[in-house]
Amino acid sequence: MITKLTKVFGKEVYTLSGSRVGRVEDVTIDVDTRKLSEVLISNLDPAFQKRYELEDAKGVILPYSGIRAVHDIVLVNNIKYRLHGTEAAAQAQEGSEEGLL
Amino acid sequence: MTTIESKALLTRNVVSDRGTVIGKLVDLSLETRSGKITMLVVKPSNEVDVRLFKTNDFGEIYIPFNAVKAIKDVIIVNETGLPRA
Repeated sequence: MITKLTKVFGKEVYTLSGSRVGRVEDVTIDVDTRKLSEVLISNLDPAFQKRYELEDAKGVILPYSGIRAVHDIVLVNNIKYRLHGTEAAAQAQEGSEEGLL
Repeated sequence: MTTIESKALLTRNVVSDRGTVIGKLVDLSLETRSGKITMLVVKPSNEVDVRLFKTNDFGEIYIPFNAVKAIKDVIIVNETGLPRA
């Protein structure tokens, strides 16, 4: 499906198992391959945050390869994410702290 | 690998490799399955003659992403690679 980037911003993100993750905040572009590389998800679902102990996280970052479908909502695989906007995220830049959705 | 956050990319100037300012980037068209970016959607600057370009109903210019030569502080596109209306 062809869509516009600005229409992807703000879409609700759910996993394949049906639980809400959050909302699309931004998308990063790989300039070399001309492809989307990562999706930044903010406005995390409280239940999701609690389950994965992400209460202090502003958001999570998913590789675009984990996206299954983009239409009215965004469906993601149960895959690895990176933390965004926390002290842990800063450390993760070096230590690569990752979790599983 | 160079990656750019796409929100930061919107509103950047789009310039041709011959130095013409075409306009400002307002949107990107993408293929959701592969994540491939297909088109730049550009709001034309006042000096540019939009009749020379492929435009949509809102008068925005479509530029195929494979005409893009560089993306940094501005977006540089290959002028000969642009579709003419």
